[in-house]
Amino acid sequence: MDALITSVRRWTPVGSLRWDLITILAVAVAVQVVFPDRADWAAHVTAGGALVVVADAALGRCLGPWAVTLGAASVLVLAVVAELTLTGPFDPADVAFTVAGALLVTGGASADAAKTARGDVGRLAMGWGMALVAGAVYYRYGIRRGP
Amino acid sequence: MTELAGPSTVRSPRKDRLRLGLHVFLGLITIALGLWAGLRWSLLAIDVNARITSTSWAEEGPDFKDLQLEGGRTLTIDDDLMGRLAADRDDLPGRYLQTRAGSKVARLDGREVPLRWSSTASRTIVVLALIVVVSVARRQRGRRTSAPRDVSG
Repeated sequence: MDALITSVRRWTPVGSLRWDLITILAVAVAVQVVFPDRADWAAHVTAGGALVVVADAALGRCLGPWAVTLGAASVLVLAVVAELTLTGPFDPADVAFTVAGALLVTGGASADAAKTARGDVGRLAMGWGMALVAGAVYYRYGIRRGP
Repeated sequence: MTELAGPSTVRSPRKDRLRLGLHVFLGLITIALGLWAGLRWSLLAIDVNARITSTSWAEEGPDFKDLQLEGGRTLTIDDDLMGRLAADRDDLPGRYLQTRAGSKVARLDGREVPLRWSSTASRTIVVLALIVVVSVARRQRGRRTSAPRDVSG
């Protein structure tokens, strides 16, 4: 499987970042399959994971592996605040799926960037993270569903 | 020769355990939030003492319905519970709903309605638990395969 994923040469994210993105999206698809009427939960998983990818890209250089752990904890706080203020009514399941997505990120991208001294890995992670956040928001609010 | 990437990536077993502990703690919070959601959908963990003003489809999909109560409060409930409250949800507006957190029975205009754990909630908790297990496994696998380690003691 590693060889298969690594062989996708046209897809720019490398190493751990590629695995993090694939895992986030695969779990989001699985959640969508298990709960076909809860597209919002797939979006929450994706957004939670993507936010930690962004946190890792932004803070991984100074915080090391703590960027991911603290990023996931911050996502919990952020999700609760967002549910209470912006996206309510408050649904604990929405917060749960957001944090679950956040926990999927291993933070290998910042470690790869440090090992290879390649700042472009960090920029790539930042770009992919922000793109996934935007995609998740669009999937949640931009597509009309329901009766 | 061991290559150390820099101070920020040097890892110690004690800090690794601390991070793992925090990760597992967040995972348990995730599962607890799923449990809380299930208790709310089933009305098992909610105090209600109000008249129903209207009902509607919940944005969460056909497994859920919304009850709008006097005072502007909205309850999202499991569709099975909606069926037990009334065969036709159009009959519900104007009726008085009472239940206490922890009670297994609600009262609708005095009529007892049994409250049961939602099957959707069970699936939700199983899925959340699986995601947490996958995340811990990925984290541990990543920790073993990531190179930099402090070997200075």
